[in-house]
This record gives sequence, structure tokens and C-alpha cells, in this order.
Amino acid sequence: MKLTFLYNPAFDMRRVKCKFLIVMKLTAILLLIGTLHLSAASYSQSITISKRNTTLNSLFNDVKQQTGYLFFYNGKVKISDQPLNVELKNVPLEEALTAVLKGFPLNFNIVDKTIVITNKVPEKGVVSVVSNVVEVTGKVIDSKTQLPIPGVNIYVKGRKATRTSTNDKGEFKINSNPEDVLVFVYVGFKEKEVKVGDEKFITVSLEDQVNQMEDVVITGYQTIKKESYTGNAIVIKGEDLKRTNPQNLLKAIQSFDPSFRIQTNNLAGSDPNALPRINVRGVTALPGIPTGKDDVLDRNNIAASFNLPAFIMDGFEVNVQKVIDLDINRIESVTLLKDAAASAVYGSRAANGVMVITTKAPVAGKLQLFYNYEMNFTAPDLSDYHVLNAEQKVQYEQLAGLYKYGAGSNGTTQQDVLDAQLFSRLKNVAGGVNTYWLSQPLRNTYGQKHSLNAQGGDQTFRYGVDARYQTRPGVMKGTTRDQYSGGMNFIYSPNPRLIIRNDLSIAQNNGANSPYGSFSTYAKMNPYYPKTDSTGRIIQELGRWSVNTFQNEDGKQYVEQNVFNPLYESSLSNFSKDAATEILNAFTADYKLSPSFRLRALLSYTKTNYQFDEFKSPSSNEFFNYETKDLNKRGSYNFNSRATDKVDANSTLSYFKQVNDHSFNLVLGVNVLSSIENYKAFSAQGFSNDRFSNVGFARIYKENSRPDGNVLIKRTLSSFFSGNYSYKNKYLFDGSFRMDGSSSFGSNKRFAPFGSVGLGWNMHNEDFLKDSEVISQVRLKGSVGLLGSIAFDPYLSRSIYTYQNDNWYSTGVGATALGYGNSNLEWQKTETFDIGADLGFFKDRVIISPRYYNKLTRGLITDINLVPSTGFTSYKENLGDMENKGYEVYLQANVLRANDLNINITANAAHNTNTLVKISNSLKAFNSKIDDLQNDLNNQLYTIPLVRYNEGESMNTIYAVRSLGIDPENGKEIYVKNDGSLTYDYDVKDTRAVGNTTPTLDGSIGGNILYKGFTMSFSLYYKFGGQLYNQTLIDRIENANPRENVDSRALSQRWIKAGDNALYKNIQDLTLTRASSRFVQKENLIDLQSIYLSYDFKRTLISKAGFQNLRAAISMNDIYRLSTVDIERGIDYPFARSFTFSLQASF
Amino acid sequence: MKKYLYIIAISLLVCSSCKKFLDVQPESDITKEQLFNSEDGFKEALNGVYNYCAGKDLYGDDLTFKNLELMAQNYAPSNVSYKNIQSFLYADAGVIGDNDGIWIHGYKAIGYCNAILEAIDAKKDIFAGKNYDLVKGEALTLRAYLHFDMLRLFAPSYKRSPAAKAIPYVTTVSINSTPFSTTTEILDKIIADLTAAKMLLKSDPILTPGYVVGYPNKTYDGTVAEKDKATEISSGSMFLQNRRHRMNYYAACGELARVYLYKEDFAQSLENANEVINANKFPWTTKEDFFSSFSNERDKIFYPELIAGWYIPDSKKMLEEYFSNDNADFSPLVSQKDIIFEKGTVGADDWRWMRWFTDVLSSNSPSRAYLRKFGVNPDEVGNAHPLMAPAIRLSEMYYIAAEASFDTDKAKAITYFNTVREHRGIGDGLPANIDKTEFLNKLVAECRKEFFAEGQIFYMYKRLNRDITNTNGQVYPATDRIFVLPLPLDEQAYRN
Repeated sequence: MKLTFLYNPAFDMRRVKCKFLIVMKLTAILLLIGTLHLSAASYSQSITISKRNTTLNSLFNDVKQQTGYLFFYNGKVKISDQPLNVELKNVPLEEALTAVLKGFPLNFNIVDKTIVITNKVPEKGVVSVVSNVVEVTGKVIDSKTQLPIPGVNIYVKGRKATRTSTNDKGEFKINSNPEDVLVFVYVGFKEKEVKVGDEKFITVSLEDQVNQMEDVVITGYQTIKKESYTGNAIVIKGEDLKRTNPQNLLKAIQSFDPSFRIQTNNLAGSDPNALPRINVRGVTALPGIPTGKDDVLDRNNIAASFNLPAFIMDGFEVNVQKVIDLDINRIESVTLLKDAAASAVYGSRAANGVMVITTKAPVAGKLQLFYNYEMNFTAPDLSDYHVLNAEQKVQYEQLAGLYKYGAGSNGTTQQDVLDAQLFSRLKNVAGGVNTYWLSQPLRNTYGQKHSLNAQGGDQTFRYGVDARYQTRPGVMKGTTRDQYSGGMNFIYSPNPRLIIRNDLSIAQNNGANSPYGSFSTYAKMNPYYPKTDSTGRIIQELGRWSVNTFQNEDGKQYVEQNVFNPLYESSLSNFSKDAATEILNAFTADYKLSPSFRLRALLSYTKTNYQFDEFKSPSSNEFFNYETKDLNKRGSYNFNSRATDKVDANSTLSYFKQVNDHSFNLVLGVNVLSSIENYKAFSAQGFSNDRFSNVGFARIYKENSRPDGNVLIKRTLSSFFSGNYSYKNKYLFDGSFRMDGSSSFGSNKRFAPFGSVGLGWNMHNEDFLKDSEVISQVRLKGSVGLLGSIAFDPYLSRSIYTYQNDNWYSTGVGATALGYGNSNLEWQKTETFDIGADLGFFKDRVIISPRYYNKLTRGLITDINLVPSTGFTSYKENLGDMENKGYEVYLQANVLRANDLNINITANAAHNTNTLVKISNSLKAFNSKIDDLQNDLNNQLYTIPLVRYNEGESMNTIYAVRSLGIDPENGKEIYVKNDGSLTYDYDVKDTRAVGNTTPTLDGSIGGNILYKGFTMSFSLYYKFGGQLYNQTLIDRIENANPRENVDSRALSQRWIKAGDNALYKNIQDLTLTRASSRFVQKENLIDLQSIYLSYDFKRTLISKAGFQNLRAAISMNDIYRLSTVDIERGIDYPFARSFTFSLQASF
Repeated sequence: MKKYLYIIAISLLVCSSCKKFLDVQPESDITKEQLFNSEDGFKEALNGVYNYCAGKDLYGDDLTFKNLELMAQNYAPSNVSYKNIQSFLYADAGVIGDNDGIWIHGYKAIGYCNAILEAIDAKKDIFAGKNYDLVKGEALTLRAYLHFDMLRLFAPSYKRSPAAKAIPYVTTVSINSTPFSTTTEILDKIIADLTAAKMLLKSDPILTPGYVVGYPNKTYDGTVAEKDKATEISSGSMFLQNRRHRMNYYAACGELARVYLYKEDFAQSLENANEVINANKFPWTTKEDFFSSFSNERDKIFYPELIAGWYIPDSKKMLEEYFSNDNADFSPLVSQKDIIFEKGTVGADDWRWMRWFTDVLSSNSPSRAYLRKFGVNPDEVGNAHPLMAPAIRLSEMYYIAAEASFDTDKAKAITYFNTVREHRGIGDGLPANIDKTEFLNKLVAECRKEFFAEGQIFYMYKRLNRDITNTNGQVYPATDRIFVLPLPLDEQAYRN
């Protein structure tokens, strides 16, 4: 158990019988028993040895080589150097050993594939001082299989010299008093103590420890038995994550927990350089007022910093980027803590849940090598794009009236010129020009990963070294994300009471964005434009349109719009790349004060250097229209760097004890966290030519710009207590308390208390259920707690003055206040209530776990409007409540368990309801500002259903003007005003809630099938009952610019003549369509996210090649998607499907 | 158990060192507490207020060149949004935006002054020399100056209703709103602040004989005596340079003269105006400087006559755009200009009429007169003086003195009036027997010329309760409807 407590190895030993795991077992034995030596070799079943004057040691070696069986023995076993002669030919192993050892005072036991050599207990000679010593006999059996266990070490408690072990029938003999307590030790099983008593024959059943190891919850500060835990935690093994998605850890987790949701990012698609946005059990923060189109589509991002769970890796906090870049092979397990009982010990960081990651610790033994290879193929998924081909496009343009003089938005171009344009395009079409622009910036690509891990050492000193090289190219040409990392760790235990561990890792991440620009540009390119001229050179300017903008100001009404070839950009030396270097060192010292008290100190230091460089060539399309006097301003360079230093220190005192029926697991600790972020940036302009891309070639700093920089310091200081108590393993109690102090809080509210209480009842341990055949587990549990989140800028709580460095007054630089610093500002508090049950049937072959939760976030940080005469227009205050409630159900079933075949099914489902319970005065005023924003055509927000804040509504509500569809008579849209009357005129004031994106139910279904060496698993995501505002319909069909390529429905489904029952308005109508309920669609979705297949090679086949273990696997991700909404996905970057081949070997 | 833990937790945490640890001071910005912990901090905060006032929502644009001048009918705009301002359409969304912006920014600037004033007395010891007096005196003057302009915009004039609900006079930094006071109360508060400021500003270096007002970039010929050369930027401390870019002692006097005049306290008004006039600190701009053939030596804003002004290099681009020949919004028609400058009577020799405008004749639309008053040379050529938005001028002191003394000493009043005219190239004086009404007409006409595009004439119309006549002949009668800008909705909605 102490092992679990510290390093948490959780290998599943039951399923996979392979040498690799035996080695693991062996090393575990080493840890448990003491200073043992170890060797290993290849094998067969019978022995042939013919040797003279040899020694026992060399004989053991021969046996090892021939059988693959390992020997081990501790230092007390004296292997004599006495020479002996051996003549064995095809003798079975046991006979051979008996023969060899005959002349020595040694016994042997064969356990699994290990030969344990022990000293022969002298049959006489131990003269007991106590008179009533009797010989006790007995048998040791496996509690699960009821089969005997050979090789179990048995000693008398307090007199370790009196010891024996079981024979191959599991039987033992030992001399002891009736008062003595016998201790039974065997690797893989729980240590057991049995009082001798008067019985002459004792049957001892040992419980599987592997099972025990799996069933723990690692909270980061504690390791608690799942049996006695009342919190809501999802434990996922690294191996399972890898099976689900070897490329993306976070996506893999999503399959295991329906409440852990990565927001689909329809803009960034499968860009390997984009950061995900995550919600755990719903949104808990309010986004600010949008500033433009990108801002809105990207709005989840604003909230992301509030909604992200806290990531804790090996005891200290890391950021989301670190988690994304983590080598999945290094992960031992991931634990998601969701409710108050589980996460309250993290206090102010816990409101959105906590994700605890443990990495693998080195195991002792001879040098072991693990090698992992992955080859990842990705291919862009364009199945959601339906664009017009060249012929259709010209047809569409004609229907849209682009070639009629004076019609629509046509500029001043005369009819004859328009005709000429039309005919040149028709000529292109006839000539076979039909460029499929979408595929131009894309590629099928592959990335690879090599990771190598070496480890070894002995009980006192163990070490591990690992190295990784990984490339993750994206499907847009030029996108890369390459990672190099190396690490070294060691565990030093000079005596059994002290364990010191140090992990050092260095990682380099290099990313580059595609020089091809935004994918959306390609979706808009007309197919009748050729890419290159007749000589094969890329054409920069493909065409020009004269457009009437209907703006009356002089010089702005008729404009010439250039059509640039986006491919031209890629032929230049433009780049946009980032590089990050991270050094991380974590040091842990663990000291056992007494059997039940231990003191632990942890100190981690992280240093990250991030740098971003972006160069735009002077030949770039962006500078095409620069006036001659500005030619020396073309070309730009942006640079920024961010250096972060972070120290995280923990110190805990833990207490772990079983007193009769009472079991305690308590921890008390302090935590100090300090981080400094140093940001610097500048921009330059004026490059002479495309070749000189170094910033040194810039002529000047960017006009009207100055260097930028700032330093952000954050500190927190906390003390905490967490306790788990169970009585008879029936009645469970969890309690935790944390006091957090943060530099972000207002100076009047520096310290915040958080806490939780959880209760549970293991009904299956009660007498009335104990013997039930059907019901094997019934646990009811519930918890309440208070959690917080502090992700707000420090300046909100204090009055900050900024210097007007770019605009000095004639008498010196000036400083003005940023706003009113509310020194009473507090963290957002989330009150949580959670109840759940774990129900197991048929020896836990089927487990169902329903959960219900209610999270009420109080004191949302929002703007409060002020009387402007105070000198402030608004300030930040904790005002506003948001509620998230919902349920989750988990199902786990072992459908079939046979000798060679094992089928498991898992399924989960969740529903979350988000409600704005209370909002502030400014949020109410906010809605009219949103109306204004939506009305203003300049900021391009008119097609987007911007969120309003209304009490009783949700953050997922879709707001738009109600629409009855298109009038078949005239092709105009009919709107419903708020008073119920109908109109053709859009008025933003009629905006109301028209839908909700919350699905009725969503979750995952997965399964795995194990057959001999094969493993097959899959994961499928489903969602139904929600709605979606289909942005494609409005942007690419209704508001389609006929001068650009459009969704094919713009040609096929728009209204053309009276009587058409069309979904979309008049094809000739070039007026703007605004956000209306017409684009809200029901969204049901099935997404086959992963399929995995692996095979473990038979050892007989691979051992000759020197492998101990070899596994080949393939996995496929994002394979198939079935949705009721036909929407263009991946606007700026397309989505991709991927296929991974991996090879895992150990030597 | 829990209680016990509470005690442990609290004893672990609530100790002063922990608090210190959590009290993080930002490095790239500065907290209020830190800023007001050093003399430099106070200076920076004060510079910050000037900088803020010189911004586009206050004196860098709206209150100098744009809104107030449009309302005074000095331009003939073609753009609808400017026409709305010109026509006093206070319900128009664009006009509301501008007016609300003036209120919000004005009170924000007042807030900045209050932050300084709240902190300064406790930190008196950290100031060297007389800097405490300067910083506090200027902050008080600024606070009064800003309140006075808010009063003149958002409250009925003293002449019409001295007891009407006016504006709040804010003296604290708080999120609690300050109640409204009446016009008279506000004026008294302004006078109190200015009087206190005047006392403090007795330490102003501008009062020393060594402080010589003039052009910072002028190259003097050999004939000029050393003592007559401008010393405005010769102080080693940047903070003590360019006193006229800040609220100096005379600015406090000048503002008092304005306020007393608004309150119709002529004696006090005259006394303060005379204090400035009799100081002889501010020399009249010479004809040579105004008409210089070298553009870098030319002075079109009568720079030495500025008692105070806002330093606005940031508005350069905007002003170039406003007054360029492409912009038909910030220029009067040639005919309007000729009427304003009384070309037909006394105006033909007026320097301002001669040099402030470029007439661009057009065949298909009315010819326009483009303002050249605020033209700035490119950096290579340079200017005799920096780009300024005038706040108080010497000529205004003469006008105030003339108006304040008319009832008591008509001859003296006419002399004050004629003095300014002489320095503008107008030889004709007022007849000695002129009556009050005619005198005021002449005075207003003269002020309109002098303060063209400086945002002052609208206040005069309001103070004297005069109808505003559009040059097309349309009359906006003198009512609160045009003289009182509506309060921002937020000011009423969020009152607590």
C-alpha cells in the first residue's frame, strides 16, 4: 500500500501476460522484500547442461538463458562458489533444479516464471526459548481464484528470522507460538497478518493488490481508496487514453467523461497550433463585449481562462499548453476531480474542476529500454464544403446580375466591358479552367514520434532517462508543430524512511503557421481563375471588380476590388512561427516520521521562454496598393517574447492509519505559488525585398508604434486540510478545507476560505447485501462545497496608473488611472451540490454510476455602470449569479469474459442546464449595446447571433429575430415583430431568444474487445436535442458575395421566381441578411472519434530478436461524422482525419 | 476539529509577512499607492491630467475646434453629423455621443485631479522646494477650470437661472455619486478652489522676473538684449518649463476673471483681469512675427499672448485634415468669413482676416475660406512655437476688463477694447459715447474674430443670453434648449 501511496503504479497484471509486466512485478518484489538481485534471459522448458567445475552462479545463468526464467534471491542467501559438475540432458526444469541444489542448503520455488532461491530452514537447530512452540501448517490461496499461491514469504511478526515460504502447492510449515502473528507477503497481493491461535492448519487467502492499485483516487495531495471516497472523480489510465487518441490527450479524456467538453472550434479546425477551450460542467464566466467578428467567433476563448479546469501534474500546477505537449507515453493516469468533495482542497482554483496527471516513475531493476514509435497520417476533411465549380459559378454570377450594367452593386463598368468579362470567363470555363482552390493549400501529411525511455537502478537509487522527438505537421501546407524533449529523473532512498525524487525535463516546441494564409480565402476563390499563367508562374492579381459600395462619400462609392491569388503569398518568404523552450525541475522529499505519519515537501521550478516571429514580405498582397510615396513602408515584422518563471512549493503532513474499524487518511499542508511573466514586443516595417526577412533589414519601427512590454506577477499562498475517514468500510466521510490568499484578490479580501463535506454509504458491506449474488456494489454518496476561481487580472482589484509613453506632455510624461480598482473584489464563488451512486452487479461486471450536480456560481465578476460624474463609467464588482445543473450517467460492463476473449463496453451520457440567475445593471444595459453593435454594418457582426444577457436565459441561448421564412411571392424574408405582427423590415429590436445550443443529451459510447493478443477498441461521440445557428447558411448562401465562390446551395436553393418555395432569399437580392431564426437548425450528431487495434506479439516469436515485449497498434481518429446540420467546418483551418500506426517495444 | 483547523489555517496565513508576499506591485504599470509615494509620481499624475485634457474629447478637439465652434455657427459644414451639432439637435445619436463624451471625459479629468488632491496633503513632506504648492495649486485650478466648463455646457446660465439645478461639484474619488448643486453654489465652489489655488501659486516661477515669455524656437538677432530672450524652456527641470502650458498663477487669475464675470461680479472680475494685464508678463505679438515671411518664424496664434493653453502635438494630423482644402466641414464660406471679420467696416486691415484664411474660389459651389490659424510646418522646417489649443488669452483679459468696467468707467473700457484692436491692425476705435448695447455688440463681434476656432464664443453667447444667428440668417433664440446640453442618460440612470 505504501507503494501506491507514493508512486501509484497501476499496471493491469491480470490481462496481459507478457514478460514486460513480469519485469514490472519483479521490480515490485525488489521494492517490497529488500536487497535482491535480478537477472533475466530467454527461455525454454527443459534444461540441457553439461559442465564440469562450474559454479552455481554460472549454472543459474545457463538455466536462465535456456528457460527465460529469472532467478532471484536476497543478500542473506549465500550462493556458494564451491565447484560442481553437472550433466543434464533435456531434464524438466524442476528436476534439474532439485539436482543442482541437492548439495547446498538452499530451497527453490518457481513462481510464475521466476525461480526464488531461499535458504533451507534447518529442520532442527532453532532452539526455541519458548516452550510451547508448535509447528503450524497451512495453505495460502488467492482470494479470487481460490488457487494456491506458491512462493509466499511468511515470517513471524517481530521475529523476522523465523521465516518460510510456501511450496508449489501453496503449503507451508512454520514454528511459532499461538500468540504469534504471521505475516504473509507476496508481490501483487496485499500483505496480510494472521494470528496463529490454536489452529494447527491455517488457510490464508490473499487479496489481489493490483485490483487495489486500480481502485484508488489520486487527488494530488492524497491517494484514497475509491471504495471509501465520496468525491466524484474519474480515473483514466494512461494506457486507455493512448488507445483512444494517441495524438491528443484532451480529446481522449473527452471520451471518458461527458462533462469534460472541448468546445468545437469551427475557426481553427485541426490546427495543431491552436489552443483548445474546455468547459467542465458548463460555463461559469461571462464574456465581455465583443469588439469585432473574430472576437465573437472566438468568444469562447475569452471565457476560456475562466472556464478551464486547473491542471496539476505530479503535484504542481501546469498550464494547458504543457498538457497538450505532454508525451502521452509518460502518463501513468489522469484523474478528473469534478465535485466539491474532490476538488475543494484546491480551493480558489477548483471551480471548474481539477485534472490531476501523474507521470510514470522509474522502476528498479536491470537497465530496461522502452521504445515507442508512432507514425501519424492526417488527411484534410473537406466533406462539409460544397462549393460551385467553374461552370456553375459563372451561371450563378449571371443569375446574380453581375454582368448587367447598373444592376445591384455593379460599379461604373460599361456593358460592353462587362460582356467582355463574362466572355473571358466563359472562355476559361470552356477551356477547362476549373481550379479546385480548396485543395491548393492542403496536403496529406504524416508525422512521427520516437520516444525512448531507459530506466533501472536498485532499491536505493533508481533512475530514468527519456527522450522524445515528435513532429505534428498540419494539413495546411507549412503548418508544423515539432517537439523535442528530454528528461531525467531519479529516486534516491538512502533508508526506508526517506525517499527523494527529482524530475528534470527540458522541452522545445517549434510551431509554424501556414504561409498559405486563412483557409477561408480559398473557399472564396472563383474556380474559373487559373492558378498560373501559361509559363507556369503564379499570377498575383487574378482579376478586378468594380463595385458600388453605396457610400455617398466622395471617392468611396465606386471602388476597384482586386482579386489576389492567395497562392502567391506562399511563394514569398513570409513566415509566422513560434518557439518555446521549457525547463522544468520538480523535487520531492518524502520522510516517514512514523508508520502512520509522513512529511512531504515538493518544490518545482518552471522556466519557459516563448518567442513569436512574423514576417510579411514587401511583395505581399497586403502592400499591393501602397502609394508610391509609401513604397519604402512595405513589408512588416512582428516580434514578441514571453518569459515565465514559476515556483510551486508544497509541504504536506499526512496521516494514514487503520485503527480497528476506523480508517483515517488525512493530510495537512501549505502551498506557495509564485509566477512572473515578462512580455516584450515590437513591430517593424519597411523591407527592401522578399529575400531579406531578418528583422535587421527593417528600415524603421512600425509607424506610430513603440516597443511594448509588461510584467505580470501572480502569487498565491494557501494552507489546506483534507481528510477521508471510513468506519468498517461502510460509512464514509470526506472533508476538506482550504484557505487561499492571492495577489489577485482585492486588498480588503486577501484570503478566501473554501471547503467541502462529503458523506457516503457502502451499502454492499452491510450484512443484508453482503451475500447477494446479483448486487456486488451499492455506494451512495453526496457532497456539498464552496469553490472558487480567481482568473481575473490583478489590476481589477487595485487602482493602476499607466504611463502615456507614446504621448508626453511638454512638461514630462503623464500617468492616468486605468479605472476604479475595487479593493473589495472577490473571487467567484461556486456552491456545489453533488449526489451520486455506484451500483455494481454480478461481481462488478456491470457498474452503473448516476450523478446529479448543481453548481451555483455567485459573485460573477461583471461591470457595474456608474454615474459618469464619479470620474468612472464602470467598475468591476461581484454581482451576478449563474447556475449549472445537470446529470451524468456512466455505465461500464464486462459483457463477455472467457478464456481468450474479453469484451467491455463503456457508455456515458450527460446533460447540463445553464441559467443566468441574476445579472447586474450594466449587463442589462449591455443588451442594447449589443443591439447597436449588431446594427452597425462596419464591424461585420450583423450575421452573428450575439449573446444577450437575460435573467432566466442561458449562456447557450441563441438570440436572433424571429423569421417565418422566405415569401414565395417575392423572395423576401418575413420577420415576426415582438408584438406578433409580420414585416419585411428587419429591426434589431425584435431580437429574442430563438434557440439553445444545449443538447438534451450528449456523451460517448466506447468499447474494447480483447482476444488473445489482439485488442480492439472504439469511441463514439453522440449528441442530440440541441440547436445550432448555421453560420454557413447566412454567410455563404444568403450574404454570399457573388464575386466570390459560394456554397453550392446559393445557386440551387435560392428563390428565383414567384412561387418558388425556397429556403433562401432572392438570388438577385444583394442586400444584407441579418441574424434571424431561419438559420437555427436542430443538431443531432454522431461522431466516430476513434478506432484502435493492437496486437501483442507472442514472446516465442520475438525473444530471439532481443525483445521482451512488442506491440503493434493502429488507431484512427475523427473517422466518420453524421450530423443533421450541413455547415462548413474549419473556416480558417480545415478539420482533419488521422491514422496512427504505433510500435511499442521493450528490451 | 474544524475550529482547530481554522485556527491553524488562520495563524498560518494571517500574518503580516504573508500579506506582504501577496501584495504584488505591478512592474510595467504602477499602483496608485506607489505613484503617490514620490514627488515624481505627483508630477506624473499632474502631467497625466494635462495630457488627458489635451485629448480629443476635451480641449484637443471637441471643446476647442469642433463642437463649440460648430454651435457658434463659425463653420459651414456639409456632413450631416456636423450639421446636427450645428443645429443643436441634441436628441441625435451622434450628438448625444459627443456630448456624453465631453461630460464623461470632463469628470474623468476632474477625478484625476481629485486623486492628486486627496493624496497630496499627507505627502507634503516629500516635495522639494515649492513643488507642493505648484502641484496642489495647479490641480485645484484644473478642477475648477473643468467644472466651470461643465457648468457652462450642461447647466443654465447664471444670467437666466442662478438657482437652477446645475451639475455636481466632485471633490472625492469614490464610486458614490455627488449630488447636484445650483449654478450659484457651483460658481462659489469654483471661486473657492481658484482663490486657494491662487494663494498656492504665488510660488509659480512665472512670477519671477527671470521668466521671460516668448518663442522657444526663435532665433534672435544681435540687437535683442539677453534679458528679453524667452526663457520658458531654460529650466533644468522639465516640470518647471513651459509654465503657460499649464495652469500657472496668471491662468488662475484669468479663470477667476472669467468666473466672476459669469457671476456678474464685475469688481472682482476686473481686479483679476487687471492683475494679468498689469503684470506685463505677456507681450503683444509683433507684426513682424505675425507676418514673417519665413514660415518657421511666423506666429498665427499670438503665442506670447497665451496665458494658458493645451499642448496638443497629437492633434496635428487631425487639424491638418480639418482645415485642409478637401474638407468642407470646418471652413466658413468666404462670404461668411467676411461678415464675421467685418470686412465691410473695420475688418479690411485686420491681420487675422488677412492671414488666417485662404480663400479657395469655386465655380460650381460657394467659395470657402480655409483656416490657416493652426497650421504646423513639417518637422524639417519647424515652428517658432509648439502646436497649442489656446485656453486663456491676454486679449480676453482686456475684453473682460472692458466689459467689467463699462458701467463704472466707460472711457477706460473703451481703451481696453481699442488696445486689442490696435494690436490686431485695426486702427478704428470705438466712439466715446457708445451705449451699452452697441458696446456689447462690438465686443461680441470682436471676440468672435479673436476666438475663432478656439471654443470660447459660444460661452459668451450663453453668458450674455444672446440669440445665435446662423450666417444664413437663421436665428436660434437664446433659450435653455440650445444653451443647455442634456445630461447623459447614465448620469440619471445610475445615481445612488
